[in-house]
Order: sequence, then structure tokens, then C-alpha cells
Amino acid sequence: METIPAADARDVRPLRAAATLAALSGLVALAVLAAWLTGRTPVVQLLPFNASMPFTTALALVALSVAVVGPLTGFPRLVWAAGPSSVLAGLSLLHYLAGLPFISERLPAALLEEVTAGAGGTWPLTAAAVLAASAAAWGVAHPAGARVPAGVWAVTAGVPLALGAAGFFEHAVGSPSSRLWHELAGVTVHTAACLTLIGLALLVRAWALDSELTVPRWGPAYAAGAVVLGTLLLSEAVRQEGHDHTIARAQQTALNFQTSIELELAARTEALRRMAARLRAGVYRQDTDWRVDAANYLADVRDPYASMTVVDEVAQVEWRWPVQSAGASRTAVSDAPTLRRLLDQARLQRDVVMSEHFKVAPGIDGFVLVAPIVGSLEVRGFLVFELAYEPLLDRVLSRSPHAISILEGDLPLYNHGVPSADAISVDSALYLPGSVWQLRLFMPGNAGWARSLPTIVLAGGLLLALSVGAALRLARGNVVRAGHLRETNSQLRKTEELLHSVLDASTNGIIAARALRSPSGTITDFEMQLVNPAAERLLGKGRDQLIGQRLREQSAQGDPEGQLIDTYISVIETRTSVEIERQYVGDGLDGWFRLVAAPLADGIALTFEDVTQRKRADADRNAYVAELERSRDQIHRQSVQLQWQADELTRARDEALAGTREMETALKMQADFVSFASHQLRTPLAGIKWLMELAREEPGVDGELRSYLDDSLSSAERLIGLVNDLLDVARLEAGRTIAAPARVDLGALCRDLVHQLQPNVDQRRHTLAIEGLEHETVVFVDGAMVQQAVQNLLSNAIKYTPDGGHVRLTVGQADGLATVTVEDSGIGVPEEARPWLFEKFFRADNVHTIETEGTGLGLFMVRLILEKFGGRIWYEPRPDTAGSRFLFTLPLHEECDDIGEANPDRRRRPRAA
Amino acid sequence: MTSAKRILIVEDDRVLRRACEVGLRKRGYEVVTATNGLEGLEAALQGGFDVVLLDMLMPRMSGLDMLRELRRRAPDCQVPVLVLSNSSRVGDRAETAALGIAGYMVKASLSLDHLAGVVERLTSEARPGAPDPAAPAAPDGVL
Repeated sequence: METIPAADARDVRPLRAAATLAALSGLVALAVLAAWLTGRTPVVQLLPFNASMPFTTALALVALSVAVVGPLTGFPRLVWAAGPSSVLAGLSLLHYLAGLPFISERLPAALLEEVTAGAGGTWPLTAAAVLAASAAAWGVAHPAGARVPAGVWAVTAGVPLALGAAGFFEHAVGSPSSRLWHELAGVTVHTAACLTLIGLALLVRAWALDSELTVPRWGPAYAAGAVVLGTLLLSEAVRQEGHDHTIARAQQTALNFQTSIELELAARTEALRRMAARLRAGVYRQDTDWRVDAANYLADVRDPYASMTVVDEVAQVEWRWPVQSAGASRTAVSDAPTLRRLLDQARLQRDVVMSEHFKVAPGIDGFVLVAPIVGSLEVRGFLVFELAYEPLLDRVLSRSPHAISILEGDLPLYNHGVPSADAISVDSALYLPGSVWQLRLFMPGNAGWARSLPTIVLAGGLLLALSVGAALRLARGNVVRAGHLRETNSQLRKTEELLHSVLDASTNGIIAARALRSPSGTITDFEMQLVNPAAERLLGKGRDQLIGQRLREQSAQGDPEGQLIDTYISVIETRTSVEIERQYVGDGLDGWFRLVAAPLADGIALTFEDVTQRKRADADRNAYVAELERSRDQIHRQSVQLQWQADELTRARDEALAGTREMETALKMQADFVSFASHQLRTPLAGIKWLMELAREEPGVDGELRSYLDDSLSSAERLIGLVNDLLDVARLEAGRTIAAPARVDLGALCRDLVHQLQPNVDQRRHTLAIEGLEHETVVFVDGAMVQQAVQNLLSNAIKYTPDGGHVRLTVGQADGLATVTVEDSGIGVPEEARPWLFEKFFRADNVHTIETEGTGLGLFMVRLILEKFGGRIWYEPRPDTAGSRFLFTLPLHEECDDIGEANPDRRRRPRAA
Repeated sequence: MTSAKRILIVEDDRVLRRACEVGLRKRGYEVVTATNGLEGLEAALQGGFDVVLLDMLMPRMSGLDMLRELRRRAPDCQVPVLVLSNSSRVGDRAETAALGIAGYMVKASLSLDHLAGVVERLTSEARPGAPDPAAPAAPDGVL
């Protein structure tokens, strides 16, 4: 009975917990490794925090650790199921609030930096979603998980599912401009992450504790939702990954373009510088010299599209060297005058000047930067410039595999290639001498897929395994839940304690015995396995003497023929309880026992009680009923009813002994019986009495008839007295008498009584002496009841003393007790009758010589009354002479008399002597 | 005797009712009988009685209930009520005493002469209905 079934499960738990933690650590390590290999940190990226919020991140990580490890610990469910989610939700809310101006203005700078890093955006929605996930976890972890209302499941699983669907829609539609969709997608990601973690924690906990879980009806839907969310989470992660990667590559490409163009321009500018230096030094004398340098220049740049123009403003001659042509051609100046004007204007204004085709900025040494002209110089009437803008860009950008546009403001200057439908456009500034252009690069949209494949495989595999695992376990209806086993154990312990206390509290003896079988399978004996304290008390043996003993040995004396054992065997074979009431003598027992034998699995349960007292009382009552029957027919009828009532009562009491409730019922029935019987018996008696009185008053009733009526009347009155006595005794025995104790002077009480009884004394010509009235002898009793007791004693003395005898009543005090002695010179009590003198219905043999009317209740009642007030009565033979001497004591009422006086209503019962 | 005193007997037992009725009538009282609490209540509410003799255990309405109802409906009713009961139900005495009765007596322990004496005293008292119980000459034991 002391073993606890959960002991095995407890031993297993730490091992499993350790294994689980090791497995989790391995998973985290794998994730970190994968992140390092792929150059990304997808797991951390998905959670509502990042490196720019170190404190928040630390708090969140602690919360998540509690969520994962908590189920393995003895922490209350509230701590690990709802706690972490609440912390995360609180953080989200904090970040949101920090974004509100009137709050951020009041925050210290250090804190502001921390909390505003994640301010705005999806935080309120995230907080709500995380709380919903927390509620879901709470529901799953709840011992009554199966009974979680459908509405709760619908909300906790439905909200994340709906949000997930929204996120998926955003992804499918691909409209990044929609802020709402974007926020919903963020919420989905956060919720899915939380749910996955919590679900993982619950599964781990259930597995570690090896406990049973009833699957909620919504379980499969929940698992399906987790799968959908996992997929969405994955696609969102991949999309984000690809997008980021594409942008990074496009920016790199744009940077490369910038660099190559700048290098190209630098080379050409340097060549022009050299030409300008030679012009200044007067190296060029002839046209041919120019031509040579220009050709060299063009050869240096190796640009098939480049061209060089030299304008002789004095001669108004212009030389132009197209690369494809063999030599320079001398043509009329076309753009030169315009350019001249712009150059002058720029020099004058020292600022950038623009026309329809040219943009001129002032430079040093007369060197100007002109767009779209790569470069130009002006020396002593010569204007030299190179027209290489489009060919140059074309040469550089045509190497790109991507579609490219170059814009100045909104004006497209250059297009290369046609962008594909899913291309991602990336804008980058392109710095060219004299201008800032926008480079717009178009990259394929799915460029990131290939590179993030390891992350996808890892995360996808993990999520899929979790989802499938959860779905399988849920579908099998065998998902384990923590705490269930522990609660069952504690329930079991409580039940056991309850059972023990019931066994201990029972006043019935209870024994459980195991059947011992012979090799052939027949029951030979029983071995006691359980004994309650009442059984020890009733059998008079200790637990050690009983447990393990054979019933046959135990009952060897009282049941020599083994009848009881045979009865027990038949109880087991027929599987029906048996009730036995029998006298049992032997084995240290002597009395009547009532015994109920009920079958156990392979044994027998015995419930028994000592009914000796009741048996004796039943026998007494039967004798008395027989006496009543002889009295009158009407009384006989009532007696039958009385017997019936008594049987009812006995049966009710027998049933009641099985439990306290029934016991109370029986007591109540007994009390009801007393009042019922008193009414039923006394009503017809009163009728008889009154009618006889009337008959006696009728005219002409005299002589014989009159004497008959008188005798009948006195018989009826005697019967009434008898019934009253009987009822008084019954009430006294049932403890239902309401006593009103008060200060009573025993001397005064006796004096009044003697005064009342004086006619009887005189009638018998006795002398009645009363002594000890000089002092007050104060007791705290119900005066009327004690007077009744003394009256009974005095009446007996008067009755059982031959005419002309002596009766003496003495009141005194001794050893703190009040004593009253009643002596007479009567017939006395025979020695063999003395032990039974104060028992119910007992009458000594010699009283019949005096009269036969006594009930045997008078002295019994005296004893009951005196005992009620802590008194004691006994009989003393008078050594010198015949006659009786009855003595009784009552505790003196001596202490706190003043209080007694001050509170006359105070109920006090003296302590038993 | 200027006019006969009127007594209301509420008693379900036929024999007792008859004995009581005859006994009191012979002693010069005018007697009205009722066989249960309900009838007794109706009669008592009509008034005109000098004494009410009330049994406790009765069908339809017990004496205790009748007394309670009488006190509720007619708080000013001053007629003395003498409870005559053979039952020894614990609490009857206290409950009836709390409702105000002239006495509580056990029928079996009461002779008709004695009853007549008590009734005579109650009807001749100046202020009937005193709550002090009439002391029975032959007590119902002491318990």
C-alpha cells in the first residue's frame, strides 16, 4: 500500500531530460553551423529581435530557454507555458510604445537606442499573435486539455492560420508596396516561430515524462495548421533571402560599372592633358603633328567608337578623326560655335552652363569638362574635344548580362537590354565627370534560390519533421502530456490516505484476507492482510499478531468445525456477500458478533461488530414485551406494534452501523420511536382511564361494580406509570433528556420529599428520620431529576420494610462529595442479587414476598440519573441487622459560587467523580 | 354561574375527545370539539372561547402548527391555550412555551378531575393566557 506506482517513471525522467537537452543543443549547433556556411542567420532573423537590440535579444533568449527547458522541470505550468510568450509580447509592446513620440522624448538616450531599434512596424500585431500562441500552449499543456473549449482552439489556432494565409497571399501577389500585407507577413513569421518552439517544447516534455495525453478534437487541425505555417515561414524566409542576395549583387555590379567607367575616363583625360601640355609648349607646328597625336590618342583608348575633333577658331577649320576612317577630315565647324559660347559663359560665371546638347563646367588651366563630351581643351585658338559619351558607355555596359538603364532625373539617357517580368530593379548612382546619373540595374528575381539552398534544406527538414511528428502523434491519440502522471499519483495518494482514515475511523472491525489455495486450486484457508484498529480492539490482539495469520488457526477454538471458513469459501465461489450473527466463545472472545463477509478479487473482506450488548438488550426487551402482553389486549396490540417498531429500529441500526450516515438515521429513528411509542401507548391508556372515571361518576354505580371500576382504574394508572418509567429510561439511555442543572441544596430537597411522602410512611406506621440538615449541602444538578432518584430510593425503603419499621435518610459531606444514605430495617438484598441491583429489569428474588408489581426499573433509573450528574450509587449491607443501606454521592458545588450566583442561567456539569 | 364557559377541545383521538367532552360538559362547561389542527384553527379564529385544549400530534395540521398559525393570524387573541399531549417529542414543550401557552400537560398522567380543576382555574383567572405553565399534580415523571 505504501508503494507509489510512479517510481519507475521518476527514475527515467532525468535521463530523458538530459538526452533531450543534448539533442536540442545539437540542433542549435547545426543551425549555427548552417548559418555560418551560408553566410546568413535565418533562425535569429525570424524572431522579433536582432543584433541592434542586445538587451531585448538576451531577454528573449532567456524566455525561450525557459519555454524549452521548463517542461522538463517541476516549475508550474504557468511559468514555462505562458511566461516566455508573455515576456516576448511585453517586449514587442515596449518597442511599439517606444516609437510613439511623446514616450520616446522622455526616454534616456541609452535606452532609447535599444528600444527604438525595433520600434513601429508590426509590433502590436506581433504582441497579439504571441499572446495567442501562449494561450494555445496553455491549452495544450492544461491537464484538461481535451476539454479546452472549441472556441479557444479556434481562436488560438485560427488566428495564426488566418494571418498565415494573409502572408501567403502577400507572397503570391508580390505587392511589396502594401504595408498591411507586409505587416501581416511579419506577424505570421513571428507567430509561426513561437508556435513551433512551444510545440517542440511540449512534445519534448511529453516524451521526457512518458505521460499520456488525450488528444483534443482540434489536435489534427492544429497540426495541419502548423504544417501550413511552416511552409509559409519557409517560403517567406527564402523569398527574403533571394531578394537580399539579388540586391547585394546588383549593387556590386553597379559599383563595378562605376569603376570601369572612371578608369576609362581617367585614361582619356590623361591623354588630353598630355596633348594640352604639348600645345602649350608649341610642339605642334603643322596639322600633321596634330593628326599624329590625335591618332595616337585614339589608338591609346582603343575605343572603336571614339572620335576626336580639333577646331582652329582662327582659321575656322575643324578636324575630326573618326576612328573607322583612315585619316582626319577637315570640315566646317558645326557644334564648335555653340561650344565656344558655352565655354565663355562658364568661364565668366564660374559655374556650370547647359545648352540643349552640351553641359559645360569651368575647370583649371582652361580645361573644361563637357558632357556628353568626354573631354575638351582650348589652347590659343584651338578647341579640342572628344565626342565619346555614347560609345564609351556602350562599350562598358554592353559587357553586362543584365538589363540596364541610365537616367538623368526622370529622363532615360541609355537603355541596354529589356528587363524580364520578375526582374528586381536596383538603383545606384553613377558618377561621371560633370554629371550624376542614375544607374538602374535589372536582376533576375530568383537569383537567391540557388545560394540559400542549404538553409532551406535544413530549416525545411526540421520543420517538416516536427510537423509530421506532431501530426502522427496527435493522430495516434497517444501524445503525451506532462503533469498528468504526477497528478494521477497525487490523486492516488489522496485516495489512499482517505481510505486509511476511513478504515481507522470505522468502529466496525474490518479484515481483508487472501485466499490460500491447494495445488488443485481449492481454497484451504485465508491469510489476513489488512486489519483496522477496530478489529484489533475487538479481537484483543495487536496488528503484528494478526497480519499474516491464517483464519483457520485464529478461529480454532470458536469455530472448531470450520463452519465459518466454509461460509467464507462459499462467499468467494458464489461471489455474494453473507451476513452472519452468531455467538462466539473461544480464542479469548465471548459474546455475540455480527459479521458481513464480502468477496474480494481472490480473498475476502470481513466486517464485524460486537453485538453482545444489543443481544442482551433485545432479550430483555422481549421479556418485557411478554410481560406487557399479559396485561391487556389493547396493550398487546400496541406491543406488537412496538415489537415491529423495535425490529425496524434494530434493522435500521444494523444497516446504520455500516456507516456514519446510517448511524445518524438510526439514532434519529430511535428518538422518534421513543416519542412515537409514548404517544401511541399513552393515548389509549388515557382514554381507558378517563372513560372509567366517567363510568364511575354515572349515577347508580356502586357496590361491586364501583369496586371493579376502581380496581380497573388503579390498574390503568399503574400501567401508565410503567409506561412513563419505561420511556424515562429509554430517554435517559438515549441521552435525550434535557437537564437543567442549578444550585440545589440536597438537604432542602430531601426535606420537601419527606414531607410529600409522609402519608405513605404513616400508612405503613414506619418511623422516618432525616439527618444532616444543619448544613447546606449544595450540588449542581437538575433538582427534579435528583428528587426523583431520592424518591425512588425512599419509596423502595418504605415499600420493602415490614409495617412499623424504621427508615433513615442522612445527608452529609465527605471528601468534597455530597453523600446521601437511605437505610431501612426491611428485608434487605440477598448477596447473590447485589451485583445486579442497578441493572435494568432486575428484581431480587425476595421482593416477591412483598409485592409483584415492580418493574425493575426504579434503581436502574436512579443510577442513570446520578451518573448523569457525575454521581455514583452503591449498596451496603447492614452488618448488625437486616435491612438495606443505599449510598450515593454527588460532586459538591463549591467553587466559584459567586459566579454561579451572578449567572443563574449558566449551565454547568460537574466533573465525574 | 351566569353563563357557561366555552371550551374548545382540539383532539384527533375519538375516545379521548368524547371522554373529555362529556367530562367537562357534566361539570357545566359548553364544549366545542375539533378533530384536527385545521378545524381547530378555524374555530379558534372565530373566537368566543374561554379555554382551548390542544393536542399536539394530529393529522392535517399538528397542534404546534395550529398554535403557530393562530399566533400569527390573531396576535391579539388572549384565550389561554392548554396543551394536552401524550407525545414526548423533545422540543414541543420549549416551542409551545415560546408561543405563549397556559400549560403543558400529559393526558395519560391527568385525571378528568384534575383537568377540570385546571380549566376552572384558567377560566376564572382575571388575566387569562399567562405564559406560566400550570403545574401538573401528577407529573409526567420528571424527564
